[in-house]
Amino acid sequence: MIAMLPNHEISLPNQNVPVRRGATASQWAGFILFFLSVYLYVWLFIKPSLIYHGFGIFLAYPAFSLGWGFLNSSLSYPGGLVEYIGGFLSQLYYFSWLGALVITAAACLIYIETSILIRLSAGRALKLIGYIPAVMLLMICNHYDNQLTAFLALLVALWFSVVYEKMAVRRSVACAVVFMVMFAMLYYIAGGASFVFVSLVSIYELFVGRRKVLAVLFPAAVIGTYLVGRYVFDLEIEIIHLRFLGTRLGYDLWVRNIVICVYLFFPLALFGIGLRQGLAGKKSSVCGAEKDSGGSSLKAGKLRQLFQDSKGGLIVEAGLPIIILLASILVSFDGTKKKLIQVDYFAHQKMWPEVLRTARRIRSESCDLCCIHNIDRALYYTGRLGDEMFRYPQMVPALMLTGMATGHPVGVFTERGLLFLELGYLGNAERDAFEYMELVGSTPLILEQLATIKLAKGQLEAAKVFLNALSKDLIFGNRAREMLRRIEQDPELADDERIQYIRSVASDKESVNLGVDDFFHQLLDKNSNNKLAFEYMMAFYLLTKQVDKVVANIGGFNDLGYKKLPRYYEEAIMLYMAHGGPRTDLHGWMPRLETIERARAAGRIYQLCGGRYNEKEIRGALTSDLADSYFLYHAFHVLGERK
Amino acid sequence: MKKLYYCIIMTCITAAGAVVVLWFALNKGTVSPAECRIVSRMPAIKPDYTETVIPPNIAPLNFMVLEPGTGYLVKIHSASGDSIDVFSRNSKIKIPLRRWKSLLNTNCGKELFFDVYVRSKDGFWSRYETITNTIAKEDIDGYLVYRFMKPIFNWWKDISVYQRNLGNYKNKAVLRGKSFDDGCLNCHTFLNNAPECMLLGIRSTVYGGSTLLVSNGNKVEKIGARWTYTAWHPSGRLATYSMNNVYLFFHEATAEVRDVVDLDSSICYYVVDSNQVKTAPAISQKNKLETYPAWSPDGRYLYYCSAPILWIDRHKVPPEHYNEVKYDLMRVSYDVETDEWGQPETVLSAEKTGMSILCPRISPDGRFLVFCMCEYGCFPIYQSSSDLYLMDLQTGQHSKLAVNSEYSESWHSFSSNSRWLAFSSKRGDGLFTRTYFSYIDKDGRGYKPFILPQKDPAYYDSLLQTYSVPELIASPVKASPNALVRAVRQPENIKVDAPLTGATVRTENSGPWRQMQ
Repeated sequence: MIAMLPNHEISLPNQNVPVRRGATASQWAGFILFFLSVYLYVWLFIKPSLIYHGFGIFLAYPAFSLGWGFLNSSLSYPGGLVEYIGGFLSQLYYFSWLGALVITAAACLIYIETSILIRLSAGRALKLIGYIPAVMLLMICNHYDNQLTAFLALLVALWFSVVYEKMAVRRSVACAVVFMVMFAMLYYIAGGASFVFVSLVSIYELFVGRRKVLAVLFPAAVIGTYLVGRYVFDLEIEIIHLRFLGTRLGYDLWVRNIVICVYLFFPLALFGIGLRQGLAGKKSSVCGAEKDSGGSSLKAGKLRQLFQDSKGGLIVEAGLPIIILLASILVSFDGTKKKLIQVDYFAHQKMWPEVLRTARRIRSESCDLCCIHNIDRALYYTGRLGDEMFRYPQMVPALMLTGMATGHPVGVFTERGLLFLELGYLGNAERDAFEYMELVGSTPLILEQLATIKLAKGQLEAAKVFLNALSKDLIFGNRAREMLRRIEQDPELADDERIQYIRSVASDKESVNLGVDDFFHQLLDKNSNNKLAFEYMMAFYLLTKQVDKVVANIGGFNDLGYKKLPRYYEEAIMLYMAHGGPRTDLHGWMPRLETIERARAAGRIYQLCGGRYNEKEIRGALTSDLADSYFLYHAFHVLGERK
Repeated sequence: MKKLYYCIIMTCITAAGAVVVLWFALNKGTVSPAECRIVSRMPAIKPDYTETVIPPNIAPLNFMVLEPGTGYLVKIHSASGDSIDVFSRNSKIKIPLRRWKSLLNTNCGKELFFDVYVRSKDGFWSRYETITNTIAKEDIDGYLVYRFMKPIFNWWKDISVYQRNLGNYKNKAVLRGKSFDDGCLNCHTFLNNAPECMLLGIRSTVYGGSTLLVSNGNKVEKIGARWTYTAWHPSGRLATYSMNNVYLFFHEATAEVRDVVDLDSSICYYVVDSNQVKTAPAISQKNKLETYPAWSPDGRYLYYCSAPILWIDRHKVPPEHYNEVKYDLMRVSYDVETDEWGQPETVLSAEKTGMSILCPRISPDGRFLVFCMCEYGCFPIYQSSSDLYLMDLQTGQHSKLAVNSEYSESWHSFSSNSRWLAFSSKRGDGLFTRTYFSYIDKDGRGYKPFILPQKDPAYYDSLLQTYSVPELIASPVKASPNALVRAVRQPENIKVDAPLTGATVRTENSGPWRQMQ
């Protein structure tokens, strides 16, 4: 393998090119610098653990499970082997340093294979081209996507192409036999990526081997596979040809295009090189040897001189890859997606201050429903929901991720299921978890969630099935086995605080299709100390501008031992009074003086605007301490951070 | 030099091989009964293959010994034939197929014994009390056709129908939903336990809802309507089916969250020769819900379930009094020659039993009728109260079968010799349905059921899919999956007018978020 590394032009068949020790050092420097930078960048900045977290939420879940069963099922279809390996390696993203190593190794291998293929086709090395597919892999990481399986399939296809070209079988019949055997093997290993192999060897035979019959015959294998798949096995075209291009792609069009570009890159690049070589050959035969050493070769000679010059070579060959790397980062890094995944990651880790800190760095128009949902959870768990929720973006469906099962990333099911679980609404938590499992797969996250639900419901045997399935997970297997051991020792899980808490708040009253009010009240009837249910109910009333219901339930703050009425509820009381709501018992809560002052200021703005949205006045209000008030949200649906 | 290297390598390989063979030989489970400690109880094994009756043509009942140990030896023997010794270093006991078959075939009607020995850490063997099962004289049908899927709610992605060879572990897809854009597959119905005539309901967003009709073994046609519960007339001249306006909804605090209600349903029949769909007033009354048709083996009576519609609003889900709906067991006479229906008569009323009577299936010998009874409603699989009952059609007496558990038992199917009952049960964990088999003797007594055996005895422990709608057939389905997929993709061959869609309607807007939306 070392022989294939950047100095491989030493073994070039073109004996006119001198062996250049200085240039080799600069290539080595460029190679090491580039991939070391890639590794450090991916490890420390991209953080593959965030990509791992996105599996099944933001990205397609790369299924992998320990044991023969999963391996056997993976080996039962074309491309399954690569998918199995891709699934395994994707699990390593859990550890950022290891994930970065996987990504860097893939990039490195694709660089080496590209370089070899180009050398075999062009007869000389065009080293910088080798960095292009490696950079494309990095660009996908910059978008927080995972297309490792697609790249692995491509790597195998390229490797097969290299082997085929290196074998240089002379007889056409033998060549066709070798091709068919390799193609069949590759189709089984790498599925649709085998068509890259077909195109590469066809181009090779066309331009290098000069066997046009083979070049035409080989693509017929593609048609043959299609006919067999379509009419013998009745498969969809997507399954026959596009297993990794069509089905494994996530939701990101950019990523889809990059993968397609990488797959097209090799045939196009080699075809271009072959065409250029062919034209150059014709030209030289027509014009004669004297002209060949004329103007164009003079320019090439100067360029070569620049590369051969040790300083120039070092700068160009070591610096240019880094420039390409930096340019790719500038073009493709998706900072917003990173922050959105970070918010979700921190929420799952219960790192609530970090959720809020990261959320503040996201522009409000970029916040999706899941992000807002996590912000609300973080606000609740840091005790700031009633004081700060209108400082952040808000949407009614985001509070409980409601009414959005269709046409939205299925990750919603996990987030909502988690909230229902914490609220004690186990029936719906279970339903969401099963919907997710059917649509996405048996991700460790959902298996753990389902096991928790079943444990909370006291259905131990069902919980064990999920834990047994989870115990086959590479990362979370130990955790599942530990839980199984605990269940054996203590089936009631008396020491498990989380399970005990969920049981204490879980509604045990049978109901079907509850409305919002009944839903929250049922939870509070079961356990009046269910603070989460109470605060979410009040937040819902605030969001839907039902100040009368806020006031009607204000006594709940006394029951839950609040020492101070959160700010937005004071403002809601003021609005209730301003709207002339009937006298009601405020249970001793009275708005503070500063709230009354803010209400007066808000009233003035409202009058100035004539009750309608007025950009100028609202902008003015946003600079005052009304900026994140409930008044502005209630009147104009405006949210903002106090300046 | 090369020769020397070659010799060294070959010697090393041979030595390693010898060590491995020696190690295995020394660790082989040989136990002298005199050295054993006797444990005066049966060992815990999983799945529970104890004190049950098994068919002589069943695949080996591989199991796990749930006793701590470092080695396990099971001696399987019967009155005659060679005993089988299975030694394992882990608790999984995998029985060799050929010897198992031979042992069972030579001992039909006799007892089968499992002597279990467990080696403790200190190297001593313990012998547990012998596990005894009985080998029945009668075979079970060779194949089981079942639906395989995760417990689905509103959304589905991977539903398949498989056929399992019960004599070994071979499993083959009849049709996979993934073959036609993640389509849904519903109930599969066979004529007289034979695969030559099959009906298979499918639902697809791309290809629509339809029913596949397989006739003469491999001729596949697509009927342009999705039927729900179907029953072939024993003559094969017509298929009766119910059209159900099915709605799925969800409970909050019950162990099973899902529930189903038929807002409306009636029974129709499809005449094969004339491609005609018909119904009769007796089986499609406007104020009644008729469902679950089942023919008597002589073809003279159609048994079905019927309940009064208790709601006025036929769109509200769930409708009022949904949990008070109880189905009666009815029957109506029919003359296949004249196509004439008689008057419906009540076989067993819900008023008498206090429960809802569902899924009647009659044994091919015409002697017994097995049905489910649950607290209310039309869908026993979601009712933990659902149990299997057997009615002797000679006496009209019914009793609860001794095969039930605290969880749901439902979707039963008789073997063609009437001695075996395959059914779905959630007894393992309350959530995942698995297929169980029970022997029904000539007097209608059910014996302790056993679970469908698997090659890996731990298979069910982490299986997230359910086995549902188990149907026993004598030989494998001949129509290939490709032929079935082709039929799904093509326009329907047989057009029928259907009064109801028969599709389960998603209720994603139910729950507290309905208002928020």
